[in-house]
Amino acid sequence: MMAVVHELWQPVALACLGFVGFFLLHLLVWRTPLRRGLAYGWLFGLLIVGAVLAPVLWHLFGLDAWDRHALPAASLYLLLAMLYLHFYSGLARSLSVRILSELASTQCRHLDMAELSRRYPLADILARRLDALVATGWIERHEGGYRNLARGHRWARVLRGIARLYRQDVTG
Amino acid sequence: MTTDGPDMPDESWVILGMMVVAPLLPALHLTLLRWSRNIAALRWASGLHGLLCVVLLWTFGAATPRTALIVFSLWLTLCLGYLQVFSMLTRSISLRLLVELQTHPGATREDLFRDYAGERGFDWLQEKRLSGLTRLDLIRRSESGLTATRSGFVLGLLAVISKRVLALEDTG
Repeated sequence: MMAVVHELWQPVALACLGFVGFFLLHLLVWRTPLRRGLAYGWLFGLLIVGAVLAPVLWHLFGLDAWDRHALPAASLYLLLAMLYLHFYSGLARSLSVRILSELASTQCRHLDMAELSRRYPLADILARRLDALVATGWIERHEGGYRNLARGHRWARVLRGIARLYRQDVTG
Repeated sequence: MTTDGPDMPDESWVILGMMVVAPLLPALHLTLLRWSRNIAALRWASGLHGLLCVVLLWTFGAATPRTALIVFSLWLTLCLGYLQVFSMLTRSISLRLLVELQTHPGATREDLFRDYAGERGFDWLQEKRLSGLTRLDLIRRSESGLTATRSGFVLGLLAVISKRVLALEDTG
């Protein structure tokens, strides 16, 4: 057991160092006006910065050659990044997480359906998604309604094909 | 396992091997899903794929703690990445809206609210999420509304705190 710990602590420490570096920068940027919306571009950029930062910090701490641990550390860093992306997208976009957080912010962990609808109206969810799709150039407003732009049209066809392949009759 | 010297283990072939077996995960999932139409197909496919990785590692006589760390990290990253893409394709509201606008170009906000997901409507979406939360024992439903279970409350509280720390508004 000790031999395993001895062999693994350095790659694990290197990966964690990079992730801590990423997370601190992420907190910093998310509290400035640089970040707009959910800023996935910034998030991916900072994950790359964290990966570059790890060997620099490793060297500053005077530890032995980082490149000996590069591959296991990079694999673990990738896993930490993936876990964080799941966490972040769940936090930012998931309806289920939003419902749970509405329940957790009440005193008795309880909401009736009318109160849930007041706090988190379904119409708002739809409106926010449509506005985001318009803003990012997937769809456009057209005679009081909406229609797909070329990119949205292409993706809709791809999605229908994939849903058929996976035998998912109703998605969403 | 080849080495460049006593201090420089060459583990890049393990990463190469993982890249070679990576496409087997969606292939396994697709096969199991088409065969059983069971929601647990992804769990089974991930388990079988992990088993295959372990068998290959042992077969080539390369099981060291460092290679095990690489294989475990990359396998879990792959499974989580695939889960993210699959759930985006099958659960994303925005992507579903593109499909709706493909079949009903020019639909208004009201049309989309009423006819979302094959005329099931947006209420169906909320019901689907609430059923999922109930199945996972994160909430309990009664005549008077919704109550968070202990684990649901902890998750909700974690979400509230994380949103505050990351200054995320208008989520869900």
